[in-house]
Amino acid sequence: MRALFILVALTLAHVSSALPATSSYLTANDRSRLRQVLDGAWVPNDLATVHYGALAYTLLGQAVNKPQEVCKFLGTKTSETNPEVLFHLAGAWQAIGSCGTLQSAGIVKKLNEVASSDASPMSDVYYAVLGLKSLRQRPTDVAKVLKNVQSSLKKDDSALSLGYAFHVAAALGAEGRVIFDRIQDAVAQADEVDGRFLQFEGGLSITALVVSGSFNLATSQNKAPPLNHEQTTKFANYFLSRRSVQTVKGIYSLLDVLSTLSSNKFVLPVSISLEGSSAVSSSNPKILLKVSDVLGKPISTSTVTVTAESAKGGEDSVVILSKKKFEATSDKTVFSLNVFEEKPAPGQYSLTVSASLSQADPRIPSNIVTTVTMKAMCAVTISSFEIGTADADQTTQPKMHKVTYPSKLPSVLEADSQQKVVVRFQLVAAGSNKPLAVHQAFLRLWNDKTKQEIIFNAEKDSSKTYKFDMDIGAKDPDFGYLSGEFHVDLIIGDAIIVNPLMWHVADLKLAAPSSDAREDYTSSHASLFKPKPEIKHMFREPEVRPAAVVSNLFTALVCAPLLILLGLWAKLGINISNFPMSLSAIGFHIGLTSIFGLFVVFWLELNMFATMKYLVGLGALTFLSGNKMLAHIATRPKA
Amino acid sequence: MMVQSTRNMTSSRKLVNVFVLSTLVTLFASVQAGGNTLVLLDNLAIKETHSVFFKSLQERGYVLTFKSADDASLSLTKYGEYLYEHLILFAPSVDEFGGSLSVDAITEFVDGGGNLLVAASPSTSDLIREIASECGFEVDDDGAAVIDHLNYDVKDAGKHTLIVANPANLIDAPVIVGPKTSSPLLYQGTGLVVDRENPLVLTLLSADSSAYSYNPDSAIDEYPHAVGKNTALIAALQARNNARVVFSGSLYFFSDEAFASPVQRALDNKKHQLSGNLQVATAISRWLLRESGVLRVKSVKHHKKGETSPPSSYTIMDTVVYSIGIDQYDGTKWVPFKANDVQLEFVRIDPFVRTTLKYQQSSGLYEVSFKIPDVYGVYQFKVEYNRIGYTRLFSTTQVSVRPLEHTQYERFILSAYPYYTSAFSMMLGVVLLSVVYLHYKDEPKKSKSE
Repeated sequence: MRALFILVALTLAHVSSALPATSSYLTANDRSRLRQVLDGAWVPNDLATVHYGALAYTLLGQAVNKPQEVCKFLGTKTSETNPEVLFHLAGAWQAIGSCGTLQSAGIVKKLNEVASSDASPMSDVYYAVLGLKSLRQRPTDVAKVLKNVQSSLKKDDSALSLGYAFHVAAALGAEGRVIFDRIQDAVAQADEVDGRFLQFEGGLSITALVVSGSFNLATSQNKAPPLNHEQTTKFANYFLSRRSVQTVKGIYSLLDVLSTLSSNKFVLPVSISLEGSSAVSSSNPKILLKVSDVLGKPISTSTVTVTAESAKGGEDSVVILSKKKFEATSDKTVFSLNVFEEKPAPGQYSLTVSASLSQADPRIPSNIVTTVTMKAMCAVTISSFEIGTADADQTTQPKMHKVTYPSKLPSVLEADSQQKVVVRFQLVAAGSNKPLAVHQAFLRLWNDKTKQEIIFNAEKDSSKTYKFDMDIGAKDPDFGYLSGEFHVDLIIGDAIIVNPLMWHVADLKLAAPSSDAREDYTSSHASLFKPKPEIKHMFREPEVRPAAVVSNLFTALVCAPLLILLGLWAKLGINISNFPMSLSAIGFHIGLTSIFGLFVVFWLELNMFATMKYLVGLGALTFLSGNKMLAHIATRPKA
Repeated sequence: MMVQSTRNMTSSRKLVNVFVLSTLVTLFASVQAGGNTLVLLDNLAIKETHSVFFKSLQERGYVLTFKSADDASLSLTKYGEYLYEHLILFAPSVDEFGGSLSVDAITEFVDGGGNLLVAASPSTSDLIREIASECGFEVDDDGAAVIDHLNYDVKDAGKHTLIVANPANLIDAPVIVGPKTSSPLLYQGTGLVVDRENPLVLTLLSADSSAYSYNPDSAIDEYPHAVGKNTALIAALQARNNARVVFSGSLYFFSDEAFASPVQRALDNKKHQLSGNLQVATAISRWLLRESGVLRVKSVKHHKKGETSPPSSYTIMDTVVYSIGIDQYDGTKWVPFKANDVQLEFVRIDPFVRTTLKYQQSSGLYEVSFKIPDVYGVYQFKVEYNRIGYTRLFSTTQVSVRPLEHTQYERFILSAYPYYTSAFSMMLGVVLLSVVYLHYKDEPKKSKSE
C-alpha cells in the first residue's frame, strides 16, 4: 500500500516538476494585506521608505497618505549630494507627483557627474542613471556610462551587479544592447529550489531586480529575453511564494516584478488555481478554476478553453473523468466544472487541466497543462455501533448494547480487570450503503477528574467493520492503575468527510484493580517543580516534674533536721562559754562561714575560676586561724 | 556547567569569630540582552519568510548571523571559545552540516550553556532527529504531520494539517509562554513525543484530544506515535546548567504568514483577526534567550532575633531570623522577584526545618524567623527554588549550632529546692556544729542532777 503511495507521489512530483503554470496569483486579499503593511510602515522620515512606499502605493492603485507632509520632508533633502539619496528623492518626487516642480538642475548635474565618473561603483551608476530617468533626463555621456558599466561587470558579475546593469542599460535605450547578452549569464546564476522556484541568492529584492531589469532591457531592445516560459514561471512561483513580505522595499519589488511579468510583451506566466474550496461534495458539487496572469487578470482577450484532461485518484486510483470542458462563468477568468455528477467515490483526486487559447499568443505556450488536487467529500454516518463487556478469557459471548448517534448509552458500563470492553461499528458514506474506511477512527477514554486521556486505535477488518477490544487487565499500566469513571468518546475524522465527529458514546466504570502496584506508578518527578511539604521540628518534651506542693513539702522536710537540732539545743541550753576571745577563733569561724557563703554566691552567679580565687584567700585564712585555734584548744587545760 | 560560587566570609574578626562559613552558591549563566546568535537555514528564503521573527530578535539587541546549514565555514567555536551564545536551527531538512558543526558539537554547545531553538517539519532529516533525541524529544517519522480533523483552519490545503491549536493547551507557565491569550495558534508540522521520564523536558504546547501525528497520505495501520494530548507541538528543555532548548515541530509556526494570518476553525464560524503565534513565539524566544525566567540571589542575611549581625555560632533553641533577596531579570535589568512559595530548609544531612519565606514588601527581601532545633551540629540554611520556567536557584549558608553552656541551663527549678535547701541547711549545720563542738563547756553538776 505504502509503495503504491510513493509511486503515486513520485508521478505527481514528476508532473509538477514540469508545471508550465503557477498555482497562485496575487489575490485581492494579498493586495489589501500588503496595503496594511505599507500603511503600518509609512513613516515619512526615511527617504528609501518614502520612495519605495510611494511606488508601491502607485502600483496598488492607491493614493499616498499625507502627501503634503511627505513633500515637505522631501523638500529638506534637495541639497544632498549622495547619489543614492538623490535617486530616492527624484524617484519619490516623481511617484508622488503632487509636490510641484523639483529644482532639478543641481541634481541633474551631480547625477551626470556620478554616472560618467570612472570611480563610481555599479550601485552609484544605477542610482545616477535611474535618478536621471525619474527626472526624465538621459545621461549626457551615454557611451561613457556604458563603458563604466562594462568595466564594473568585468570586476563583479554577481546577480546584484548584473541587475543594476540591466536597469541602467534599459534606461539608456537602444545603446544598452551591449548589455543584453549578459541576461543569459544572470539567469545561469539563479538557484533552483524544489524544482519549483528559481531565485537568486540574496532573496526577493535581488531576484526582483534582476528579473524586472531583464524584462525592461528586453522591452527597450524590443527583443525577447533569453528566458523561456518554464523559467519565467519558476521565477513567478518564487515571487508568489513571497507574498507575505513585510518590508516596504520588498513590497515594492514584489509588486513591480509581478506587474512586469503580467504586462511584458515576451513571456506571460499563467496561473491556474483553484478558486475557493478544493473539495466537492453534494452541497458544493462544482470545482472552480481560475486561469489568469500573476496579478489575477485575464491572460488574453480571446476565448480561453479549459479542459479537464483526466481526474485520477480515490482508493483504487480510478479515472473518473476525461476530456471534459469547463464552463465559462460570469467572471472571465473563472471556469467551473461539475465534478460531482461523475459520482466520484470519496477520496483525493488529481485533476489534470489544460488551458488553450482560441487565438495563439506568442507569450503563452499553446497548451498549458497543470495538475490540481481536489477531493470528493462525503458525510459519514455510523451505521451500527455496539459496545459491551466480556470476560477476558473469551468464555462468554460479549453482552453488547446498541447505541445510535448522537445519543449516549443510558446505563453506565461496568468492568473490572478480569474483563474486556468490546466495541464494534461500521461507517457508511451518507446516501449510499457502501462501508467507508476513514483515516482516524479512535476511541478515547477520558477521566473527568484526573484529566487522564487514553486513546485507542480501532482496527478494521476486511469488511471494513471497525472493532476494538480493550483488555482492561492488560492495559492497566496505561490507566495508571486507576479506577473510576471514564467517558468513552468515538473520534471519527478524515480529510474527505464533511462531518468529522467526536461522540460521547457511553460512560465506563472501572472497578478498583487487584494489583497494588499503583503506588509505584505515581511519577517520582511530578513534584520536582512544586513546593515541598513544610517540616516543623519536634522539640524534645521536657521531663515531667513533681507538683509544687510535693517540692515544697520536701523542702520543708529537709529543713526539719536542722530545725529539730536548733530546737533541742535551745531546750537543752547550749553552753559555749569556752569560746576563746582570740583573733584566731573569730577568724576561723568567720572564715568557715565565708567559705560556705562563697559557695552560695558561686551557685548564684560566680563561675568556678573566680570562686577558686576567692577560695584560696579564704581557705588560707581559715586554715591558719583554725590551726592556731585548735592548737590553743589542745594546750588548754581540761576543765 | 557555569557555576558561579561566591564565598562570603564574615569579615569583621573583632566582633565575630570566623566560625561561620557562609557559602553562597548561585547557579546562573551569563545574562545580558542580546548576544551573538547563529541562525542556520535550509535556504536563505527562510530568512525572508520568517523576517518578522528575526527582526524582533534584532530589535531586542541580538546579532544574528544567517548561514545556510551546509555552509562549509560553519563553526561554533574558535580557539576553544564559543563564537555564539545562541543557536537557531531553522533547517529541518538538512542532511549534513557544513564545516565543523555536528550533532556532538551542538550537544556540547548546549552543555556549555548555549541556548538552542530548533524547528522541524514533516520532512525532518535524521540529523535533526538525532539532535531532538539528544534533548529528550522524539520527532515523529518522516512524512508524519499533526492532523486534526476537528480543529483545522479554513486555509488548510485539504489534508487537515494546518491545525488550530487551542491556547488552553499551552503550558501553565506565563514566564515561558507569556500571559494567557485567547487567540488560537496556527500550527503546521510534525508531532513530537516527549520523554515522560525526563523531568527536565516540558511540553509547551500540546495538541487537542482529536489530533494525532501520522502520514496524511497513508492509512493508519499501526498505532501513531503521538495521539491526542500526548502530541507535543512545541517542547522545551531546561538543562541542569540552565541552558535552554526549544523544539518546535513546525517551522511554519514562526513564519510571517502564521504571524499575520487570521484564524478560523473550519468547523465553526468564529473568526479571530489575528493568530496568537506572534505573541507566543515572542514569549518563547524571550524565555529561550534567557530574557525571562532568570533568577539570582542578591543577598543572604541571618542573625539571632533582636540582633543585627550573625553570631559566631548559634545555640540550640535560639530564634534565628533569615532573609534572602532574590532578583529576577526582566530583559533589561534586575528587579526583585516576588513569589509566595520560596522555601527555606535548615539542613543537617536531612532537613530539620522547612518553612516558607515571606516576601517583605518594604525591603524586597524574603524573611522568616524560626527556632533552631534542640540538636547541635553543623547546619546549612538552604534555599532551593526550582519552578517551571525559572532557572534553578540554589543558595546554602553553613552555620554551626552548639549545645548549651553549663551556665545556660535552668537554675532555680522548683522541684530541686529540696536539694538546695538540704545543702544549705547542711552548711549552716556544719557552721553551727563546729562552734558548738569546739567551744562547748561541760557542766557536770547539772548533768549529774539529771
